[in-house]
Amino acid sequence: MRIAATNGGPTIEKQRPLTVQLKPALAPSPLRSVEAITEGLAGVGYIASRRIATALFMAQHLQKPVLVEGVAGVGKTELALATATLLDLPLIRMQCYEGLDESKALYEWKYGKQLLYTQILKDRMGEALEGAHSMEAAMDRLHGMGDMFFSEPFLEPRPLLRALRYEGGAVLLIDEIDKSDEAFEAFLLEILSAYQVSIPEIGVIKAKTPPLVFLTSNNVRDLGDALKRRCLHLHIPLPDAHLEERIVATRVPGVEARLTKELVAFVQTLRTLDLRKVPSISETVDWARALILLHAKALETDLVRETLNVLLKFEQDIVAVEPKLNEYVAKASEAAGGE
Amino acid sequence: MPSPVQATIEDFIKALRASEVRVSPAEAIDAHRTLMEVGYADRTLVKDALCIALAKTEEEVARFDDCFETYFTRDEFRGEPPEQRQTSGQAGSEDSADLPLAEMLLSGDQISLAQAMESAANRARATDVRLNTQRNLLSRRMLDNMGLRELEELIQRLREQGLPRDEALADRLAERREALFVEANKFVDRQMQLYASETGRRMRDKLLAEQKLTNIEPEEMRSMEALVKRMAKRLASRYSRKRHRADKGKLDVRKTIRKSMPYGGVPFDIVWKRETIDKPKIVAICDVSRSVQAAAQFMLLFLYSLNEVVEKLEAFAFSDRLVRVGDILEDEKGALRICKYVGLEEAQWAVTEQPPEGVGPVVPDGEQPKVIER
Repeated sequence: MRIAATNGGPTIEKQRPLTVQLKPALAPSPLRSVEAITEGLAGVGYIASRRIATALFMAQHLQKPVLVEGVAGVGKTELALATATLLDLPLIRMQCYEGLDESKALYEWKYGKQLLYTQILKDRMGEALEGAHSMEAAMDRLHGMGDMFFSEPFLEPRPLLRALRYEGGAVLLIDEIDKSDEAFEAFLLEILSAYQVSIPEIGVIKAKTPPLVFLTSNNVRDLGDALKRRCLHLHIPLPDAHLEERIVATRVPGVEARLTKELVAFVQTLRTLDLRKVPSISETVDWARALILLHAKALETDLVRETLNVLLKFEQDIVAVEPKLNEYVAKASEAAGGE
Repeated sequence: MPSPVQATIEDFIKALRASEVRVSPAEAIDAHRTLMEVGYADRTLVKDALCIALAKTEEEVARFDDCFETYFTRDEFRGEPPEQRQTSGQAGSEDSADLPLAEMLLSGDQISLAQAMESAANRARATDVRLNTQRNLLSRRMLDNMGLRELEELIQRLREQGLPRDEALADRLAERREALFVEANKFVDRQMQLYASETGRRMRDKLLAEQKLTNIEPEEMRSMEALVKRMAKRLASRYSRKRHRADKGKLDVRKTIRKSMPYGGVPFDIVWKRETIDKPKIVAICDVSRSVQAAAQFMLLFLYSLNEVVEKLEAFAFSDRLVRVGDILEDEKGALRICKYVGLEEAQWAVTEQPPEGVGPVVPDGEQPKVIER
């Protein structure tokens, strides 16, 4: 407020809002600190342990890719998706498989257009070379013409090249790198260390803004040392009960606190058994969803028996667990503080 | 000259390497860059950040966590400082004034003692310790570097003077010298754990790898399992990924057009889509004999490990009849089950890469089985 003097004495004039346009302050980066990352990821539905948040912090500040390992279903891919949402960046996902090569991953030439170009060139060649009476003159003129055949307009970018071309950066997810061949792994090295690719016909293409790269692996085969050396390594273990309860509560909002505690305690018990495939986080979340659909309020042996196939994916595991279901359910109920 | 922090990190990296966490020079640089980013204030953050930068497998992560805790935890000189006796402390100061170790011991300055021990350890090159037998030598060198000899001479001199006051001082110094021995041993134990714990295992593995199968003791079987798994994985990865393009199947239009460019678009060089991978097919046959039980166990383990990585593995065991055992190898405890299944206690195995129908070469009784490559 300010006081303005008028003939009738001082009156109080309402201050008008400031109309000067201030330069908008840069929003603080969601990756400025480990705590900010943990909070930010929680905001987009990903409950991260401190080590996961630290990995993301370092990936951003050291500009290095993160190699994420862990058993299936612990949230490796989800981490990349959540990061893209958090940073509001486009996510480019490349699924690896045996036989994946650079023509599917990096770039390909638009062959159809190239052929058409050749045809047009043939038709126009007479015009272009008109007046060149000797072979040498014709060749000189040919050299003078721009070499269009292998040029950017004929380049079909694949995921890796697209990720390098985004002005504002992107999140690049190279999923299940262990499924690809060793040759492809070697081919990735240049991109992962220098954020650039060499295309023999064009030259080196450098990233405008280096993308944030996640590579995931299920350990189908051992990755090469060269690749590992270029990456930060994050191993996501199966979570402890407390973290898992938070994950379930976030991913399945309708589930009651007591049921969450019970089902997590039950899953944690299963993980101590000698099973062929122990349930991971995604199975716990699926199971919680299934229990909600069945209107469950608490774990009961029959209910668990009927839905056990959501948690355990091998018949021999189900057979091994079933006889002791009563005991495990009672234990889970006890762990959740029930009677 | 490296800064103290840099030297600490370098020693830590040395300890990591001794614990079989492979850290290349480039990764060591990454570790320093990491610390510049995260600072030193938050212990958990430093641990997590270094772990992410340096440990590259799940096993390495576990080893890193152990190593970090051992390296950055100081248990030495944690106890209560000895009670101060004002009068005798005062009296002793004249004799011990020239000897910093005696001063520290008498004043009970735990922090200075810990620092002195750290720098004595550096001078004694504690990070170079590799064998258990070096334990006493290292401990002695460290204490000598701290001034133990001079301390002992002082105690001797005080006792020779024969005055009650000097006697009392000598007793107190001797008592605290004993306490110093205990702390020094603790320190050396930690150094051994950091820098020498894996050396023994590596030597055992090396010996085991060169040992005759018949001489392997039952308690060495677990180590052998790990070794065999590594061998099988190496063998399989060397032979499992020879790929070549098939000469029939579906036409790869893109590649064919690409190759036709030099011929003006005429598809002269035709490319097919299918790529085939040569994966070895293995047939293993087990012969029964009374003399080579250890060999059978070794080969069963080898086959089980190979089964995980080889596309097609046919395994047969026979005593009086031939039994297919490939399915049992799918199971983790397959090797043991096979022995029971075919009534084997002692068996001998021969492995060959894709022999003709039926029988592969069987190694004669009493000889070591071997992998025969085609």
